[in-house]
Amino acid sequence: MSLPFDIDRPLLIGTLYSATGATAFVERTQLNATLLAIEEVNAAGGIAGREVKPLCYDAQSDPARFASLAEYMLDEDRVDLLVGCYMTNTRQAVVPVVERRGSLLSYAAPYEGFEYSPNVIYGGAVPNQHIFLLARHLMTEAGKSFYLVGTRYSFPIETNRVLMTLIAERKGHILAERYVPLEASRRELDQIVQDIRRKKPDVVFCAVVGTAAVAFYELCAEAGLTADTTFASLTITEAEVAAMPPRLAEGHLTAATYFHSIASAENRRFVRAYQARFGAHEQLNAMAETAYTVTHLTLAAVNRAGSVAPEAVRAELAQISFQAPQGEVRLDAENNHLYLWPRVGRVEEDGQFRVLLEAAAPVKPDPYLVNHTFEDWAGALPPAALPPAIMSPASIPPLPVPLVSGK
Amino acid sequence: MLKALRDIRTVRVVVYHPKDRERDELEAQIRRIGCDVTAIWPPTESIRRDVDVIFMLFRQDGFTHTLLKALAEQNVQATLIGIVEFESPAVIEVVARAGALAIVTKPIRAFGILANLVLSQTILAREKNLLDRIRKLEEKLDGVKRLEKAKSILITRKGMSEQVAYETIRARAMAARVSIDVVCSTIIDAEEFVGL
Repeated sequence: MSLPFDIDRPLLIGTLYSATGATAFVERTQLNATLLAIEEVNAAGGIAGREVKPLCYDAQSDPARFASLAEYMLDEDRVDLLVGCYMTNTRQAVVPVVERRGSLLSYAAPYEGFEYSPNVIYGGAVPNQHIFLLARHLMTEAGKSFYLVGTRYSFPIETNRVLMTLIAERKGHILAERYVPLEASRRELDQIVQDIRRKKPDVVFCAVVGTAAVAFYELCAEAGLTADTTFASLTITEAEVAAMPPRLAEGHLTAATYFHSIASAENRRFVRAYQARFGAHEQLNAMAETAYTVTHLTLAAVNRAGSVAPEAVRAELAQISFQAPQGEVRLDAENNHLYLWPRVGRVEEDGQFRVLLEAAAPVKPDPYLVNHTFEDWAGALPPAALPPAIMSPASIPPLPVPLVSGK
Repeated sequence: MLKALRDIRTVRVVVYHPKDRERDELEAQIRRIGCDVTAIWPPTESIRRDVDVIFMLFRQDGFTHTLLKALAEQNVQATLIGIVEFESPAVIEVVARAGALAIVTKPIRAFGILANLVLSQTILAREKNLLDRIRKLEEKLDGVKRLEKAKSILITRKGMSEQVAYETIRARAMAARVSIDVVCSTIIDAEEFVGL
């Protein structure tokens, strides 16, 4: 069992990422960021004097393998806790494993919401933390007709549902909603590209993930779509852009809680440390930053709790905040998700995202929000100044805060 | 969007369950979903009226009995969701007879609460809709019966043909600007009065 806190051996962290398969090129950066966080914790003295050791296997972008690896690491390797997962179906495969064993999973990616497990710390954004900003920007700047295309699984389907309610609220319209398998062929993707060409939307909202996303952009460029259509996404990060030919994604808009180009001192330090460790040309992205941040936050809480029991870790997480590369983040104890910083970035000539819009304060996660409206969002923002680490979030009165634009 | 989903954050919930960690977890999940929730224990004899959904612990004890009696006597319109810790036939029978539209099993987990809330609200709405339609159909059927009776009175008393009897009733209703049913009732009342 993972619960007793044995001070004579290292603290073992089981990492759940793919080195092969359709999403490996993103998960590789998540793994690196997790390793970096662990090394930084060790450099600062470890956890209660114990060294933290990561354990890594290749989950091969396969949910069943995620589950069996989680079981193996908890039961045989006797890891103390798990960090990782990218696609929702991989997290869903691991949640029952940690629940049955009373263990903890720190989840390292944004997802579609509608989940709460006392055994999971949700490190990434839920729809209320990034879709609004992007939807509003698109409706005012890009146009009102949308073409939605995504990989057929819960995240794209749910984010598209949210986007459709927001588009309808602002009297926009959906020309089509199309889905492809994770390992979509170029032919399947090209059929959609030809359909986009016929329908001429103002905006293509792309929730295609994995290597198919790269092929999709190549086909769109070949069809001449990228010139006068706006492309937007929640999942096209620096990792996807880096996998594309130069300038292919130029002008593309992504809503995310983090971009490599954020000009804060914490982020410059993060980027320098990451590049020093993994290569000078490495690009950071929101998934990697989420993995880095949730690893640091979780380990800080484990350190304070002197335990890896989920309840003890959660109790400590409610008391601390972390100066993440995206900004200061902390747990919302009501739902185990994090207060995060919504942003919209646009891909520039050099492949970097320029931050066009960012929230003036971290946004409270609302993972069970069904009916998204623009009005809700104005009131959903916490105060601009974060409380000191020891203050309870419940004691802060909510204040609507306007958005700061331009950077 | 499904109405029960769209309106989920307007739902007012009461939980009848003793104070413990499981109840805390249930309340916290209902709050995460975005509903207004109040927990009550021990149950009182009067049920709150301003409530859309009741989560209620079913046990073979006096508290459950009190609650069931109160629910039955006060004709509560709220959706009932049972919280059960045993699946014995005796418990299932009580839950089913109480009119529960969903159940939550113990130990209580967050997963499934939203689905149960939405499904039970949808079932209740559908049930109300059907009952409404039945009531309207019954009224209509009664109207048809009254028309038949009024016609037969005119036929026997005035020697009218069925067609003429109907036209007479209809013309009367038009002239008096009332429904055919009102005219029929008047004829039937008069017949009963005369018949005394």
